[in-house]
Amino acid sequence: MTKRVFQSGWVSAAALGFTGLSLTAISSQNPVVVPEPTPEQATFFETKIRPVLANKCTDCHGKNAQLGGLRLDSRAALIKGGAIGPSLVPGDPDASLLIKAVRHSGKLKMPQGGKLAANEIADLEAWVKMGAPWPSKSAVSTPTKAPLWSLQPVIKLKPPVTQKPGWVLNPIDAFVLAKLEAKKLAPAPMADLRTLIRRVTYDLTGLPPTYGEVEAFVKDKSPGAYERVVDSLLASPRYGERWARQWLDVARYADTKGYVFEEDRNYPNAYTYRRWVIDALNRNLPYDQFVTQQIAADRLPTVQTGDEKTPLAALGFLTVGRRFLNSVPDIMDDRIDVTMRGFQGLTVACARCHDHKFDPIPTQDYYSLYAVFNSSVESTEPISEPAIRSPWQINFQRQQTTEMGIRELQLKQIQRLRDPNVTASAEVRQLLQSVREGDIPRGDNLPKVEASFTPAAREELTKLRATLADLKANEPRKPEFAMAMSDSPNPSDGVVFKRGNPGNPGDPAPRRFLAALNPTGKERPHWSKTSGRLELAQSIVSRDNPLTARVFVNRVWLGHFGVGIVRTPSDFGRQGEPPTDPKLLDYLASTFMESGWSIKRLHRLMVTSATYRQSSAVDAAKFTADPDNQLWGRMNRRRLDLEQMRDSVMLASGKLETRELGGRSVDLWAAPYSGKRAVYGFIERQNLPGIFRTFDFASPDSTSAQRFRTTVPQQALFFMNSPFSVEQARSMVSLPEIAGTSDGAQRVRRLYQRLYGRMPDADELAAGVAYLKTDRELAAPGQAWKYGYGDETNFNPLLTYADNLYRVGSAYPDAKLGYIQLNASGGHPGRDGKHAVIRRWTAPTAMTIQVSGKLTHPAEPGDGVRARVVVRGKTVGEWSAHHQEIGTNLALVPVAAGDSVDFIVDPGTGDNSDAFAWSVQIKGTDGRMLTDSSANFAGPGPMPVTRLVLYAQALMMANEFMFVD
Amino acid sequence: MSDFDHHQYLEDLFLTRRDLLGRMGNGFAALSLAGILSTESYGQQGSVISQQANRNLNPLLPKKAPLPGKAKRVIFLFMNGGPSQVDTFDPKPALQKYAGQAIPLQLPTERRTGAALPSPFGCKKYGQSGIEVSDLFPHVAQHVDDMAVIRSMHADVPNHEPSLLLMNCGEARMIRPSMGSWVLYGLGTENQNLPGYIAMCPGGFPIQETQNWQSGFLPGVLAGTYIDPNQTDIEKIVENIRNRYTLPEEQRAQLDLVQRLNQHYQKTRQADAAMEARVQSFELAYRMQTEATDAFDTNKESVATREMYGPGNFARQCLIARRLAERGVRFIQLYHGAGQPWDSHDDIAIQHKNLAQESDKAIGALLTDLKQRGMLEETLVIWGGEFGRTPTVELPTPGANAGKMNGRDHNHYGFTYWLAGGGVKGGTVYGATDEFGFKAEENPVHVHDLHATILHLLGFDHTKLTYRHAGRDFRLTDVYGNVVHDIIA
Repeated sequence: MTKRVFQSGWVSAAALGFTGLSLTAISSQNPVVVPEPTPEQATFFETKIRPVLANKCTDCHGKNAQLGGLRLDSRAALIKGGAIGPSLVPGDPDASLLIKAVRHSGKLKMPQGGKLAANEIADLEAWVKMGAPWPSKSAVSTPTKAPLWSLQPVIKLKPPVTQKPGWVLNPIDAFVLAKLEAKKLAPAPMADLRTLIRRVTYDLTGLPPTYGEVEAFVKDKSPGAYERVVDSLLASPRYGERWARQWLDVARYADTKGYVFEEDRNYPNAYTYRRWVIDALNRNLPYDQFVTQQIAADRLPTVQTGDEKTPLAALGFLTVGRRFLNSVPDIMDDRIDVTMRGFQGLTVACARCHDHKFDPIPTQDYYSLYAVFNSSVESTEPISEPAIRSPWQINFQRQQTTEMGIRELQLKQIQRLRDPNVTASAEVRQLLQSVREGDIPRGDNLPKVEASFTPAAREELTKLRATLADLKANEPRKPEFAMAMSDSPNPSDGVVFKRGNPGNPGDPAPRRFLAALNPTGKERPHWSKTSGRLELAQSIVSRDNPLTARVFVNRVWLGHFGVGIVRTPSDFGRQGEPPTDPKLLDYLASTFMESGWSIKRLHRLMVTSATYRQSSAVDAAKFTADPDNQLWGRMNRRRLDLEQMRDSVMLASGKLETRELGGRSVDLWAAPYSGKRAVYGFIERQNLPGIFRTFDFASPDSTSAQRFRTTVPQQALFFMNSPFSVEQARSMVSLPEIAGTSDGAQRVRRLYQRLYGRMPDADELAAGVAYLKTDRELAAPGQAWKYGYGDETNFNPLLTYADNLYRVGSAYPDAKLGYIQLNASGGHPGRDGKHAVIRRWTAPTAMTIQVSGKLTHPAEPGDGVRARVVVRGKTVGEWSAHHQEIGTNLALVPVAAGDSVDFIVDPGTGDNSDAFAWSVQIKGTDGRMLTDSSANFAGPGPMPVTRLVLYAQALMMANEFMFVD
Repeated sequence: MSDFDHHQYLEDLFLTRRDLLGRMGNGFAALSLAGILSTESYGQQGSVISQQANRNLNPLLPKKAPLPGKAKRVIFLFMNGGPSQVDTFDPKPALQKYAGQAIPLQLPTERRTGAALPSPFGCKKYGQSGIEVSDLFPHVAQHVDDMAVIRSMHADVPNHEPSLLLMNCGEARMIRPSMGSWVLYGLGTENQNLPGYIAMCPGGFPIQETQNWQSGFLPGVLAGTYIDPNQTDIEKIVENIRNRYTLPEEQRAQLDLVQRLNQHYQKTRQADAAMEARVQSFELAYRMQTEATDAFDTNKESVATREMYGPGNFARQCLIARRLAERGVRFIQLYHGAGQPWDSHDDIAIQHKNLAQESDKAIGALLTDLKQRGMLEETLVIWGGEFGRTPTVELPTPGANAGKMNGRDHNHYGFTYWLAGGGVKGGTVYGATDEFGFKAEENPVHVHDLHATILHLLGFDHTKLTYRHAGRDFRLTDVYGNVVHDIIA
């Protein structure tokens, strides 16, 4: 994801254990005709020239990569040059492209990492000037760059021997301990059992253990107790839901297409991909199949010929990306990127416009993959079991045939009517003139045209329409659909788009795999018969592919330890970080492949290691020695992510609903809050709701390897003020175990059990009990206006609010009090002066107010209404209106803080036809608007809270809830 | 390596302890939360440790620009739809000469266009600089001596979607962070109680919606916060800003309890930057409740000020923009309206007139107000759309402007932007279009160049404000961009 500084990965990779790999020296292939340089020239070359070429040039122009078709590792190769011509004219620096490039004098500016130092350029110029002497044998040994570590074969090494083998529980620990011991460090002590079960339960299921589970584990002293917990967690369906979400980050899952102009923006079937991922993980689908199905499920024999179509849903991996207004090159780019970064940790998309600047990926390879994906077509495929799928398919096909029949018939008849020899009304003729050949008139015009069809045709049309209506009426239950893909009938190779421009085609790009992953150097197989997707998948899951297993085990490690062994999990190239421990990474990768790519066994290996069971506590000495835990000598403390947070809150409030696995996406943040786990949340890619961004959700725009961990006040505001947070706290305290007791201490204990899986200590208990001492309904923040009825001395609140108005009770009119109501613009008074309607505003501070307003009494019958402004029982303004509109303005009314300013409307002598409108504005002395009775009209606030609710909410807000040690 | 290496900051989001200890030296054991909590305003005065802890985890904290730059914040007035340059800030008398005739310059645009269409608006010279401005913008024109008018802007294609993204994110199709996110990434924001980057658009979204202020691969908190200035309810402006359940004193008591619990929890653990930052974030949030409400309440302005801005939503959002700028919001962008209001394919005389009437007085007032308050020097105000319009008349298209020949098509070949304040050289005209105003000819300024210049004014070398993602060091200007030094004071 990010890294601090550019480090050349190979240095530490070599130092850390890849010494067995050949460090290729620059080959010297001087043609015999060149005279051997003098010893001075040779020394000059070896000390000044070769190091520059080796360090700055041959990485891209050498044995392992020849970007631009150029090698700079021999004199002959320099003279031969690359695609744009020779690089070297011996004796003539100004004519040598090499010199022009390093001078940055022309368009070509090299090297990529930044301009060479002036003395280096001067040396190169001098060297070319002297005829570019190149010794046939290296006179001085010079350091050379090793090949990219991640492309070397995975080597399974024996776990090292350690000084304290007693700590070692499995081979992971031997690798970790050996490196700690080499630095004279010891592993952290084992975490206490409560911490451990909370950690492992969150890691494997995304949820905390219940108090009962914690207690049972702590009490279980029998051997293998921890392993049994691990196994039961791995067997829980909650496991698939948790780890699916981590994979969905990589797969840039969303339920929408991104920006579209007019078409429907939803992916209504995306959820079947999500369910497939959950299911695949839960049933431990081997990773090689996990990969293959996501790239080419349609090509599996079982899918092609069998009845089981569910794997087609896996293709959502390719198809749930952004649509870029249907720009094909961008859609292809998205698919190349998600596949290559997701499965291979290679930033192939960098090679869209030019050869990769750091890794050996030529543009041609990008367009080879482009051709693979572009030789496939998308389709929506029914995947339910045949009993559901087949009847629907039959019906659907019949509908299509019938619709086609109708259309053909219409076109044939329209064609007939176009014939001037056929009788047709002038209207029809004119109508048909405005319709293009092959089109059918729309709307009201169609029946007019159809009326001129032959009787036989009309009869046939009626019959077909009846059939169609019948088919529609009897449509069987809809199956579920996959966002699938299949090979196009005419798969074809691509061409390089020079500088990424489709209008500028270059060399052909045959459908084949990456050169960088073709260690034998033999000609790569050309996937000429099919799209090549299956072949691509097979190349990825080949045991010889050095990246696939490494990349995935690193992702799983990241999920358990908070950071990866490679800290750039989707970039295993030179711009990425090298592994903290290459041997450990390779051990895990090879073990993973040997296990038959069993993901659950991989989890088990990791979480049962002593390394995983370490405490997250660290002393200052060790912290100084290994500040970012490169040696894995402790556990990393982590904060819950968005999904863990929401799920944990819902679990605590008793609202978590886990019966249905899979299912369509739900709105996570709208009341009434769905009890489904957050993994099922609807992801609107284009306008992702703020809450997702606030809590560092993975951007669904492109593949995401790990989430940011920001801490911003908006997160706190969510806990403090959101209806979600308050409502869950309310639910929690209304659970029988809390509401059923009035004993404060008991309540505190039970909330601790629910939220933290433990009992409070004495201090915590005392603090809780003290806080809960006041346990009454608390005052809610005042609303600007209150609504009631009565007179200048009596204010009775209107208690019912419905249909945007305040009333006395649920029946309207009220049997006793009549038509009393208040709404945003006005209302209706009660039967007499004692039952006037009152709109009350309370002055926040002492001031002088101005009132302006308009009173309207529209009806002619009756005697109209009387309106008054009353401050502290004293009338300061009075108006009457009957079938008219009048202004109600008052200048300079002094009020004291807390004074009620009542706007009272009574019916006069009778309440016949006394509906009125009276909106008023109150301004301060300086003319600033304080309130507007219409704009600030509001329904009643939320139900009041108690200290108990706030206490439960406080426990959710505290760090203990959000952090896992 | 760039001399302003931002990788460090975001790297710290992952590797906080290393950094914490690195900065703390031996003060490891000295960390005391109690000391911090007892200081009421510790956001400003807390221990060094807590401030640093927070800095590492909160990418919004203010940072110093690496180079001297006068602009501290940006107000970007986005005239979405594409205002016509020849009718606003690039008057072209030659069009009168060619009225109704073909001009000797034919360039393909989105739709077919015909003869020269002279501007229906007159123009005058303003200020000491004598810059010509059309009669549409008499109030804005009063400020020409503080403005640099770039008359040679150009973009890549004549379509709204890619051009909006290019102008906002420096890339027409792929997902890239918007300029405001880059600025926030580079500078953080001065007021932690408000979002650092606010995008306003009355009544809905512009085309491309929230992508115009997206954070792309940068952290989500760097994305623009969208606000509909039609809203007056603070809760609809800043999510969860108000507690509707209990009184402030009661909430304070609750927070005190939370912080006591945190303190208790911390006792058995070593210092942890992430935990401490979270403790602080609650205090920030508590204060934000009152300050944010205040920022958006334009009723707190005097009658004189409100009258200076004039009525309407555009004016209201300009006034909000000033209040936000005053409170240290780093990047404020406001759109003219939902959809693409300036897209006058027909009836340009009426449409452009209405649009200018909605905005001229308010923009003029904004500039006056900023200047009066001494804020203009540090506030970069930018005006422009995603492209300009053709000097030739758009020909009728069925289903679009059928039967009308009085509008202009999109034009990416040449258009006008003006900048004011924030270190811009006032009274400057930079670059020129051809005699008809069709294509940038003299000193063309591409959108990337504009971006490079804006970043420069804010104190950044645009080639060094980079972020590593997916194997590359990305920047706002991709591999392009030249600073237009001639418009910098």
